[in-house]
Amino acid sequence: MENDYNYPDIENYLGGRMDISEKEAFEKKMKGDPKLAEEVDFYQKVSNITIWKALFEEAEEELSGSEEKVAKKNELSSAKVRRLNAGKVFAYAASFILLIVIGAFWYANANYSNEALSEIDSIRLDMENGTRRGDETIVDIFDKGINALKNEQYNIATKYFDSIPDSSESYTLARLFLAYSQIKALKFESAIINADIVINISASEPNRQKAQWLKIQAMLQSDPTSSEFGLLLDQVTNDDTHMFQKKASQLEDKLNSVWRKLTF
Amino acid sequence: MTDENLINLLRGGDNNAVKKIYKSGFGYCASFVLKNSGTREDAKDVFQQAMIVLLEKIKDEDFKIKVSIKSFLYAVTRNLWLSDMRGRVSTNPIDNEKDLRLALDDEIEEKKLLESAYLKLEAGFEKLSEECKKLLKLFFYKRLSDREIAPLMDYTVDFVRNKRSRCIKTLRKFAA
Repeated sequence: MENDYNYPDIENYLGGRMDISEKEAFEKKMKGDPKLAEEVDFYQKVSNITIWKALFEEAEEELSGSEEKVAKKNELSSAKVRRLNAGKVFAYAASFILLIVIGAFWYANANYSNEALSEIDSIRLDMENGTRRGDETIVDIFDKGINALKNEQYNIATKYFDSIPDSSESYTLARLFLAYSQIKALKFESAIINADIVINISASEPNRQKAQWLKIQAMLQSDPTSSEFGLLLDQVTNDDTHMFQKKASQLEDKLNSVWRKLTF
Repeated sequence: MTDENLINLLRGGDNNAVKKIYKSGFGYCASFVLKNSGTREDAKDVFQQAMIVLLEKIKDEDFKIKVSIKSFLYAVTRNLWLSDMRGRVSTNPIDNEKDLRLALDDEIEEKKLLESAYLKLEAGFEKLSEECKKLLKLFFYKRLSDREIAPLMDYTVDFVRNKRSRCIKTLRKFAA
């Protein structure tokens, strides 16, 4: 008999749309009619369940919205982190490459610059007595020059050696010491001229070879790109009897090394 | 806000309190379902049933919740999901697995849960057509009159009344 009840009455009762007398009359009717009371209870439950389901739906939407927002925020954060990471990786890579480049330039300059390739100290000039000839005055001047060399007073040494006249027996030897002193005093052009004198007039092959090596050392600092430098270096490198052949060969290798290209 | 305050708000028919409890408890309760072979949709369905149990209990003025609302919802969700996993048998499905039972309150035991008229009604509600659900929500939740509902549903005013009556009868049938 469930269909016999008047739903608008139940709705009005549950919806509070009845005045006091209507309400009392309806409640009295329910007391006398358990089926009606049951129907009202059922209707109330339908109303409750509908409201709850609607509220759950809204809460669910709000939850999903929050989850989407969180997911979007996380996605944005991840993207930001990815961008930051990419930026960091790029910065680290750039820094690393920069360090490598700087290190390479530093290494090249430390080992392959003209100054680094200098082998002037590989020449062992005989600075002991008995190597020079001439009168006491010449020997005295020579000794003063050697003494100045030993004390690293290169400009003073050049003056002493340069003052030994070409008439002296020790002239070519003095030119060799002069060239050496001039290289030490960074007077490379003068050193080349004096090394050339020794190369051209010395009767001593060892001194000529030393003069060639001095000239190479002087040219290395003043004009290492000249064809004359290249020819002289080749000459020494190809001379198996030359006392500086091995060093000349090593120098040639270094000059043709890629590291040499990185030098300033 | 304390659980006691929330319960008082629920008893006073505060819709925001319902949503607040739903949103704060869902994740916690859903984790149990998700960890036990359930999907998010399963978790949502079971949690809504747990919410209904809570709301039904709270209507009883004598009902005293012995644990936090969240724990209550978790226990009900757990029992309902365990039951669901066993095919919703009519007898207490966790009798043989007492270690799994959360003896928080006799009232949330599976057998009693399954007898809940509200849960049966909820199951019936889910089976209703979308038109019926929409119409009932407009009427009971939005509190619109038949005259206001008619244009929203493209019905005549008389048809709204008839349709609502039919929807409720269908719901009764589904919930039986």
